[in-house]
Amino acid sequence: MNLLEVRGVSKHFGGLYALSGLDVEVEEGEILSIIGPNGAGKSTVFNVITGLYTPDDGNVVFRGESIVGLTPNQITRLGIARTFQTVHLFPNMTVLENAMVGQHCRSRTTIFGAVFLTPSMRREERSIREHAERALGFFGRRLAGYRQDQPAFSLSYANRRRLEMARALATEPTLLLLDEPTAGMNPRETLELRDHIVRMRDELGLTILLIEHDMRVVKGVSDRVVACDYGQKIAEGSYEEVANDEHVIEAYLGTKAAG
Amino acid sequence: MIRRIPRVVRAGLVAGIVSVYLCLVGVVGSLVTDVVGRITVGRVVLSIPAILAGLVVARPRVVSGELRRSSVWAGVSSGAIVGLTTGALLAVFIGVVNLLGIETIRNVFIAVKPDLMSLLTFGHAGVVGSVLRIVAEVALGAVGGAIGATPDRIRVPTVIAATVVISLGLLRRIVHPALAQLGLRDDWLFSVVTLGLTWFGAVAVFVVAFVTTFAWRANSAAIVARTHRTPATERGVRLIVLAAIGGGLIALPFLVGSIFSQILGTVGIYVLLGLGLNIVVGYAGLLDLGYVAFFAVGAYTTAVLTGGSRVTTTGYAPPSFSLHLSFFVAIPIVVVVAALVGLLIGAPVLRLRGDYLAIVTLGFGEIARVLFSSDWLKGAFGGTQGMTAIPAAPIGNLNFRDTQHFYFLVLAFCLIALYISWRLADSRVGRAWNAMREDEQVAEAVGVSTVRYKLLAFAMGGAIGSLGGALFAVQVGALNNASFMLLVSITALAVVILGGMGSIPGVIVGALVLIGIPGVFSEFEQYRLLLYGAVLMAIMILRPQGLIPNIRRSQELEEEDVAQDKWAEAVTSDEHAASAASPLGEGAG
Repeated sequence: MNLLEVRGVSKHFGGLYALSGLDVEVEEGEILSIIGPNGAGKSTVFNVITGLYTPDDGNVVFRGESIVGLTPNQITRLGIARTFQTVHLFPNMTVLENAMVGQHCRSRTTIFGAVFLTPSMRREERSIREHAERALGFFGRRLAGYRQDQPAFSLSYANRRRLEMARALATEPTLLLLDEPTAGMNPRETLELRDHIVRMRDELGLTILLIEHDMRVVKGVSDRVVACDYGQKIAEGSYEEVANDEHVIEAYLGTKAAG
Repeated sequence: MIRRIPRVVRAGLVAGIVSVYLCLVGVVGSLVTDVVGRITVGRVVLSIPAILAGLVVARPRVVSGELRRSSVWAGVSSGAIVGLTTGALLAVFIGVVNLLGIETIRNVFIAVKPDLMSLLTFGHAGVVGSVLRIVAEVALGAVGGAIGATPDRIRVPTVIAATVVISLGLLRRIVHPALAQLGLRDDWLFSVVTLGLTWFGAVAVFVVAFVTTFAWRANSAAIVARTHRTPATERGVRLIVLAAIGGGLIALPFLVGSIFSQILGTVGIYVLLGLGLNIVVGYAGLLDLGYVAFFAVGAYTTAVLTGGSRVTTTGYAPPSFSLHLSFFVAIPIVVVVAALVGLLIGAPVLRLRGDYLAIVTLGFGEIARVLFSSDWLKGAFGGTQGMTAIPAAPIGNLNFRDTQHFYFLVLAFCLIALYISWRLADSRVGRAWNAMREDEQVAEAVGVSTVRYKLLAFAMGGAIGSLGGALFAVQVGALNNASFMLLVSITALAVVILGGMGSIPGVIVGALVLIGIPGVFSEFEQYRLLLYGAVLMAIMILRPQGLIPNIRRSQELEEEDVAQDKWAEAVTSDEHAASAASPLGEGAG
């Protein structure tokens, strides 16, 4: 069964159709890349899936149930986590706290528990911390040690990207949406991240939906690739199939001379 | 263009403008209490701008990356130029007043009186007076310059000691009863005639304060190091400090007498308001300008529940709904009511952010005040006449209308609110609020229900703020709408901002500075708002993060640098080893 199905989703902003009848199926345990030129509607799909946008038409089905109309936090709780195209951290909170916020939807301490220091609250606080540290630990020593207690704004660009992913991992997702995770990274960091993405699937058992412009990364990690243009799917299949598809080449390079 | 005027002259001009301004608004002329000997508050205030400007100009400063110190003579001479400029401006002011005549000026600036002019000119008419003023300002500027040019270890104790002397000169009303309570004589310190310090007392206090500060600054590092030598000594010292603070808090109202206990009580009420607002603004980032609503809800609910009467044209009458609960039974109900009002105010503004939220909550604050004093609800809350005869929450012999007893009630409530704020800050709830403040949309995407946590912030902030209102009702025993003006919201927000948003110690310091200091130095009472404005502007320019910002590090930073260096060494050596061994590098091109 497909873990996630985007069925005929349309979304327009005024007269501009960002998505028009897009279909994407994501199988459990695969890494699916979405490629397409700028403005193809890739990030809009993510925003529709995570509940930031409500689709005008169509349905989004996660584990057999529609998630259209749920708030973003409910969708996160169901097990869909994401990162953003431009890094969005909580800059004045520490690295560890950023990851601990990820555990929010997996914990339940209320004001009462926090004020009266109930044993269950202490236990839960410990577990939140452990989960957050484990999520940070996924990136080896990049986010470990003294860095955990520094404010997130003090991190380097690549580490901010990693922290954003660690925060998403801390929500204990089954489906992870990564929006251009290697944007702005140098070649070496890109390669490291490529390995991390594969490890997230192999070691953490995540299903990953990836938007990516760096074709070496797409080629290296994807089980399948979906190509979009003008809010529609124009090709689907293995990397080689999609890369050689004439619609895709046309979308990226433009039409051959008319005539 | 301003940049082209030499720095020294610019400082003098600023000092001059401030001096003339202080004269015009009356701070100089109308404050005639004596501080030391025959020197009045007004004279002290008038001398401060030139001294301060001289000090600032002569202070060591960074010029193109290099710390540059002035020699004492350079300091004195640049201070003198500052003073000359300041004096010139004041001389112009004196000249203009003489030219137009005091009466003409007084039509606009009522503070300009013959007394003020004779203070400025040392009693000499005409040019002689102006010259004397210039000479005086030159001397003051030079003194400031001399202080500024001395090394830190002298300058800082000097400034602190001078501040102590001036403050003490204004505090006979508090120090005298306290010393009398301890059975100590103070006629060597305070003059019986002027009620200010005697010259002997001033010099003695200055010397003691100077030596103490000097010695502490020279030895504090060693003392701190010794107390931190082992965990046991550190814990011991911490216990002693805590015990001293606790003992001080308990002894305070008896030492300072009933008038000052009342000021402390008011400070406590604003600590509660500040802590509550700090949750809404500081933790959750929701700018609430109508926080007075919760203050009013707390006060009026307490009045109704504990059996206050409403004021009518014919006397007193019980409100249409009235209970005679004990204050301590009523408090939980008050808190619940305020939390519900918080939800009520929060619900319609869930989708608003920033400026829009501020404007709408501003409206809610006014709505609350108008409702409580409306004719429509006159039967319940007494309309514009308000309510009176609110019981003073007695327990046994303790009557909390007595300011010294009230202090303990406030202290207890503040401790509870402090504990709650502190626990919430470092919990799952506090993190969710912080995340929301940092980026609402992302917090939602990471799994925080922003709707729920916004409502929770309003409810929790409202509940704590209502405690302040309840205590206010007990403190004054009578309520009317004049107590619930916009100014309360503004003051509470100023307390939070001054201390540092989201900082719990900041709220305490903010309340002490904005409520306590104006209360203690009651000479300045009529200039309270002027001072608020000046203090807030200074804070926003010099220290926008607040007096005690809510960031963990400061001393920790140094330790962290060390840790970071070690870490960097370890990582780089590892990476060299790793990149040599692994083929990772090959695909990078």
